[in-house]
Amino acid sequence: MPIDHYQQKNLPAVKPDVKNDPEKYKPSDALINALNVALELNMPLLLTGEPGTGKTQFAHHIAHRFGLGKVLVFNAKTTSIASDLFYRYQAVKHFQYIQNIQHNSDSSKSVEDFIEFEALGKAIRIAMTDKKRSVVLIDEIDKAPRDFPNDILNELENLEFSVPEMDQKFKAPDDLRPIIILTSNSEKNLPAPFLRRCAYVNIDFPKGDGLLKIVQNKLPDYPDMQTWITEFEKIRERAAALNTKKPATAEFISWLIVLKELGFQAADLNSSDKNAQLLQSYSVLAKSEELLKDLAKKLSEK
Amino acid sequence: MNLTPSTPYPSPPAAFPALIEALEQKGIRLSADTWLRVYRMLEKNEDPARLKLLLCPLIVSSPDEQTLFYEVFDRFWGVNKIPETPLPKKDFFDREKPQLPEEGENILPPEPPREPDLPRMPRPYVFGAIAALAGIVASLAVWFIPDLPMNLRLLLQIFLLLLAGVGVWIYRLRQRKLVARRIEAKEPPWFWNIDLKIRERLDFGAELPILAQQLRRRLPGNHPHLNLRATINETLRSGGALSLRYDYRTRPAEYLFLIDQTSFADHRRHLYEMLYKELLHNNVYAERFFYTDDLRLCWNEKHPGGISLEKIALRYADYRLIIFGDAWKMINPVSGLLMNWTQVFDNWENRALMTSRPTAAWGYDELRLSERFVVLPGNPEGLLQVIHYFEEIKKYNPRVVRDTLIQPEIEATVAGLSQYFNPSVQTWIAACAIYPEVNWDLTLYLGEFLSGHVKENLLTFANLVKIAQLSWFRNGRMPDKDRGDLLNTLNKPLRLTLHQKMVDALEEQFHRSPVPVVSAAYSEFRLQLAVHKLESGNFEDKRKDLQHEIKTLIQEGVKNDFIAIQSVAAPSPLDVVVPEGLRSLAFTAAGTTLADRLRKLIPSGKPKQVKPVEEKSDSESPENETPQPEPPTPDNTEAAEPEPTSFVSPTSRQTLPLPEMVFIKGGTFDMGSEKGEDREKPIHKVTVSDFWLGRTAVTVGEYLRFCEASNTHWPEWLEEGSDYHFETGKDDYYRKRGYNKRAGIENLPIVGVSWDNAVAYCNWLSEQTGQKWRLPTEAEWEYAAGGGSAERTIYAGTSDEKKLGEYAWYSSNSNSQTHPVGQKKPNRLGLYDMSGNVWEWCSDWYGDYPSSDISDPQGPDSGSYRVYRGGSWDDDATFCRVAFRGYYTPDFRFNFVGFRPTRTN
Repeated sequence: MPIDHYQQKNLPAVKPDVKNDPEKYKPSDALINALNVALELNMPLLLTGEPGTGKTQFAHHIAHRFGLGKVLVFNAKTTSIASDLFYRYQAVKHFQYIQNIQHNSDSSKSVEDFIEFEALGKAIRIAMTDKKRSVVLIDEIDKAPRDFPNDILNELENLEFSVPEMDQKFKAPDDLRPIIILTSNSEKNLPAPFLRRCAYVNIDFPKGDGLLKIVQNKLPDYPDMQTWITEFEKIRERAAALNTKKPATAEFISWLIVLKELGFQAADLNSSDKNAQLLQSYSVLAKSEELLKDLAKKLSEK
Repeated sequence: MNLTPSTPYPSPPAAFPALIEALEQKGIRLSADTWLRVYRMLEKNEDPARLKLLLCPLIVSSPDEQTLFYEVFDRFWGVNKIPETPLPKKDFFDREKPQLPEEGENILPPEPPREPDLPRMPRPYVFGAIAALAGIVASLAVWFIPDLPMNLRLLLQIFLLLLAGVGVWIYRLRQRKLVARRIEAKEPPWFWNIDLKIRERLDFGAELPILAQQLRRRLPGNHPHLNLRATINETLRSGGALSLRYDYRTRPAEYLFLIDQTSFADHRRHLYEMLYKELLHNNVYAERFFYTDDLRLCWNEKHPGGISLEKIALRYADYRLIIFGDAWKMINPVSGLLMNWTQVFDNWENRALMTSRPTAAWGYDELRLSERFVVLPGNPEGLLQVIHYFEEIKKYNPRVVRDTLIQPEIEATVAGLSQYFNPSVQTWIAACAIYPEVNWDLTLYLGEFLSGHVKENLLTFANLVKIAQLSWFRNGRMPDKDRGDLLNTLNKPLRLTLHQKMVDALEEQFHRSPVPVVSAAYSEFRLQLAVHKLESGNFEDKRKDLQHEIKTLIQEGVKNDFIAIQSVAAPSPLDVVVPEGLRSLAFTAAGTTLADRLRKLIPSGKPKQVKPVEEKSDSESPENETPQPEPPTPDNTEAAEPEPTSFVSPTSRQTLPLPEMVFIKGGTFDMGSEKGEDREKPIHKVTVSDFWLGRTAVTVGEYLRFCEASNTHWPEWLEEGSDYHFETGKDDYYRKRGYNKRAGIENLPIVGVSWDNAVAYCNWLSEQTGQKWRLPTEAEWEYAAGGGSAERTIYAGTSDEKKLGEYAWYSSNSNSQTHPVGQKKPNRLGLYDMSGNVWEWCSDWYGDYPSSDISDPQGPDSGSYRVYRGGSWDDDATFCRVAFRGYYTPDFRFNFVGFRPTRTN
């Protein structure tokens, strides 16, 4: 039974997203030990690995596991500079506000209202006011300009900043240091001094049993998981051979969900009766026209 | 969250320092602060089982290092895990350490083939020697036999001399085998490579800080941000009306160096590597890759298996590209144009080529390269210009560079040296002749020693750039004659000291990294050590022993050189026993130069795998070659150079007054294509009679002969007053496709001729010859293009689109130009360029195909369009299919349509 929501009158109910449930994330031993090292030595933890290996999710997982609330995320951009980690001053807004002050009904705004705290700034303020640690995720640090990593080294170590606009200083108490997770797609070199001061771990794409554990954690009782893993790994190999993006765990899980929706079972792989459904499901896995065509071709040869 | 890992490690961490040492050997070094952290973790951690995963995050900083760490750790703690990739990885960095293979890792070279023990009976080489001798004697004796007819005498002599030749050959063959068998007893490593661990830093001179400063200059970014101070000032000035002031954030400039590492012996590679490290040291942001000849595949520590240029282009797009090397692979050897793949460099906004060719030798190639790069000499002066031209590219002119940064071509001859080098550098160069192999470490070692000797720092970047221009220092070898000449320029005491320095260096290296006594490398080391000891004059008491050792080693077939031979031959010139190695000396010398010449001729610089047996038996193969893995070849084999044979033009056109014709035997075939466009349908059976078809399209040379004779039907680009005229026309429609002159393009296919022109040409040929010349019918054309009646192909010559590039010039490989006819492979009938290069007019009006079988179809009786066939330089593969039909009005002319003639008997 193919999914055809379009034919139904009502939109389907939104289902819980199992892929990103931090509860069900299963970190590897290497990852756990690396985190312990980082915590023990108060170092930031740098994660690399191909997209979809769960770098970002690991941060959410820690926050969840230790009850540290929401992860404070800073997405590095090509324009990022070190001070962006803490706060941004909305100068133009402030100017406008001052200019129109006589027309404004609310004239009580102070400079603080035009300061927007960013991930690390927020974390430090939480430590100061709520006496709580938090998890800060600096995502895709390799996207930032070359001097960014070096510039933030001191900031990460001292965990203090000042806001000249407010004439105020903020510093996290030592025992409430935020846990800092950095991710990188490891495409470019990060500067050596920076690397030296981070605990580093590369998340390999899980294979065989590792993948099985991860997926079973998310989709318990899914039938014939071993067959699907084999099938999935074959597709990853095809993608590698074609030099296109390899589907990651998240895509795998989506695929399994779609297959279930389509009523496609492992046994159907051996016949060509349900090729259409299988082909339809491939669109979740294949992120390139090339791979999709290749898979379709293989199906047609079956 | 102290979870316990699932795989426990049994042993305690007592052996920790040894583990660190093992890691250091693999290139992972711990800084002081890392050490401290590691010790803190060791103190804290009571559970040795978790050690691996706890230490790894502190020590490694890349995925590869992580894998390496796991590997070393597991090996260290004796956990026998089967490595996940048991296949030996192609690793370019093996060549960095030529003394591999390690114990148990017998990579290269393969075991010499073991021959079965030969029977102890009469040995073929004795026969050989006897036969040779007897042959020569008998051939002379022939002249003393009376009453023999002259021609018989000659015949007999030739026969006997041949016999002698065979004898000599058998003798030599046997000799080699003997040597090989002696060497068989040896074990790896096979080669003794000088590796002196020189930590000397070059003096980069006053230019380096300037260069580094230039390279560090920040680039204007394109992200505006509010300049608060300026905004406030401006707002105040304008009486409170908000006026925003922005400026642009700058970003640091980043550089991508691609360094040619065709040969490990090449001094330029080391020099530029040192420059790169020095720049890093000076806080220049740079990334460096190596390549071998062909830039399409590069590698570095992070990508030991290689990374394609396209990928680099994606990842390092906003870097400034600086290539070190001659980059001659970028130029098509036939057309002299830049290869198509070089377009990938357009991804970089700033790109420079630091060529090692001296400006005096610059020519057409550099001019071509400067279409795509800022081409500068790879010396300090050149480097200082890079940023200047990056910032003001408009000012770049290769001719100005050539004429301002004058760099003479230095010939590697003893006489030539004095012109270009000061005496102390000359001495240094001569000193490098002391060892059979010219090696970067050795050059620095000797340079350092001589600097003290002449009281002048010779180890400067500028000196080495100049030295590295000499072929000796590029190839890592000096011909024996040059070595002899160079050594003769040294005074005696200095030479003795240099030999002693060599003794020190050899002993130091052996002490640091010994090789097994049974290895071939050890014999080589012993021989060199003995030679230099003997020559240094400091071991007079052991003279006899040393000479004996040298003799024995040479006889064993250990790689030797003329100094070794002289050292044992010279003291007793009356000695009738000529050392074995000496016999082949003359041959070796000749062989080396011949090999050199061949290497220059063959455009592949790939190192050959050297078999030790051959290497030892006669040193025809270059001495400096070390066991190296084959570098990966680029995946894109299509784009590889065409085979040399296809360069050869099928005919020598100038001498032939008429187009060369190929006889096409008639037959029946299925015309049209079911997979193609509607106009190619339906497929119908067509029978054609025998005919002759031009081997190539009509060329400019052939067609112009007609125009000159008749002074009519000039092609559009030669028509007086035409907008498209190659000189006077305002439109470069033809000009930019190569039709920019009248002479020198005779072999290009004619274009800019209408169907009417083409028919006129055929009629003219018929008048001149009395034969019947015309345009082919569509059916004839398609029949011939697809290969006749048997085994028809989709394109002319092949059905595989991937191979189309071998047969046709089309959009993927034409560089948007027509190409001289007959350069690609012909199809099965011997016809060139049927697919691609230019469309070819056919005689038919355009119309729908008939649906029934037909013989010698002539097309519709009337129509508006004439058909042309075959696709052109401007078209994708699908249009180059033999079944595809193009058409246009008969009076129109294009830069992509020509024709080829047909003749019937």
